[in-house]
Amino acid sequence: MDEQLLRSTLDHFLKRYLRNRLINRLIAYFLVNLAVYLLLLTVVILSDSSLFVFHLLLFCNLSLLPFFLLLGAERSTLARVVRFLDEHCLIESYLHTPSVEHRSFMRQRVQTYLERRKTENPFPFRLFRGNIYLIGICLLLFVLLQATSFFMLQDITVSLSAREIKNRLMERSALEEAVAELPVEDSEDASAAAEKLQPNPGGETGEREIGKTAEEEALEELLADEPMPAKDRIQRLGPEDLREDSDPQEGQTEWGYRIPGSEADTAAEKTSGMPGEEVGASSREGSGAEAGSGDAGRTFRESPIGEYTTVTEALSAAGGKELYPSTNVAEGSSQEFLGAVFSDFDRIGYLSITFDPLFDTIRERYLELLDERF
Amino acid sequence: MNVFEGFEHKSALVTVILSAPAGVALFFLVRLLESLGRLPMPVNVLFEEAVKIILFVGGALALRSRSWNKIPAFHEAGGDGGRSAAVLLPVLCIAAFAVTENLLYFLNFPTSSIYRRLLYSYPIHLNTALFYALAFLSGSTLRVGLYFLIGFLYHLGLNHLSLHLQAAAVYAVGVGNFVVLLLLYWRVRMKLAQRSISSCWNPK
Repeated sequence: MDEQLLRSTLDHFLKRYLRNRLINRLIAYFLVNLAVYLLLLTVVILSDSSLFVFHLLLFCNLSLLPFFLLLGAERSTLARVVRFLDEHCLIESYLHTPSVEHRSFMRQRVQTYLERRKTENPFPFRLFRGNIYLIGICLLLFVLLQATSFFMLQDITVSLSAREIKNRLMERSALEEAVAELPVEDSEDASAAAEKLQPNPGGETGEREIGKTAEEEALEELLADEPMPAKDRIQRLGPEDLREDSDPQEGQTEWGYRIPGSEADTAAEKTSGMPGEEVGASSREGSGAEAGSGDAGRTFRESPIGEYTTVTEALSAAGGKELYPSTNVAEGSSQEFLGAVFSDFDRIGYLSITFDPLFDTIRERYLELLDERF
Repeated sequence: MNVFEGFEHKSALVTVILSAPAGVALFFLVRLLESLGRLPMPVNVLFEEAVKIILFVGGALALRSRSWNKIPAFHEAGGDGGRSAAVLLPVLCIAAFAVTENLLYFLNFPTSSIYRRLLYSYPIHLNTALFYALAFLSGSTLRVGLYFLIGFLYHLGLNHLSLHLQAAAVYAVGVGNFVVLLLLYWRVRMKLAQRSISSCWNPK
């Protein structure tokens, strides 16, 4: 074997060896970038971090290609190849000896040995152990990403695009804001009130609570027992709303129901139906801000101050028009009541304030229930 | 795995520690010098390529010094560790130079064009660095001069080409650049291995 042939044979082995290593290095580069990409997507879902940071970190990682290609395993590549091939240090001793006589002595054996190794394919391609670990890490990160997506976005088939994930997050936050602005159902209020009525283990507080809210319980029983048309109307009223407005105002009953036909009624209230419905609506808006709703710092209740200020604004905008007799007054629907108020006492005899029979029924049933309880 | 195995070696770690800050510093030095005068593109390219090749000259001079081969990390890396480091250090320095350039570009223009630059302009720097590595591995002064000319024309040509290419074509040329990068890398690795063979073949 001449020098040229030995060199070409070693080159052949060296190329195979380096090719396998190059492929493994590229696979490692790809896997590391994939792992970082999946990790960054998970971080984006969890922390809603900006796309700028995402692309910056991904770009930095992608830029590491030269370090993957050039670093490591640079030392004694030939020694590795030779020692892997050379079981009995035949080639190594052949290469290291300066003596021509020794080389000529070993040449034939080296040649035979190399030809045999050439047919054996001593460097078959196989993944490095580190790459196998990286594949496992990538799979874990993929599962983590999907789990995060499932819990955070309620979608297991999340797109692998950061932009789409950001769009989803923005849609979700917009939806949450929209939901926050919606009035909250009364059922939460009712359940909160029911929880309040539950007696404590000590018993005292629970009894006090029961004592405080006996009237509300009566109202609930009323609602539960009699499927009257009033139930539908009253259902919108929460006990707390009734308690808040417990001070009967002029022209209102104890529960805040205004006496129909009173001077306090405006035309708008007439058209909108019962005033109690308005109260119910406001209670729906406010129930979400109760303690324990878990939305501290976020108000679901619209401030009543706004309504009050708008009333004064509306009055000032109307320019005193409201001071004139309203339509119902002009039509004479409340004329009798006005007459009763401002006329002589002897004329009051004919006047009888007519209550809505519906409210009479409710009141009677309510008083019955109160009597039953005490 | 090779990469982790590489980091086990002190030589690889020392190479990174030396090359990365040097590359960043070199970038700011070049930009500072370029900002002194408003120079046309060919002059800027020539200046950048000259700085790169000076790095390799520095590596070659370091290799000749006795203290270079006494660096423990390179000494432990084997008989050819110092020689490899003398070539790899400038290449990694230039990689850090290119990464810094692209990062600053991204900070100024945070768009997806950064990936176009990653595929197009980043390999230009790496390919010219590998050109020069090949030249210095050959040991021929004439070849160094020739490869310097090739590197300069390659850099200038692709810079001009990028001004006239559509986005899709830029990506296509970028893929071509990447293939050239792999071929040059392969050549450098083979050269290093063959030099090792030669050193084994003709032991001192």
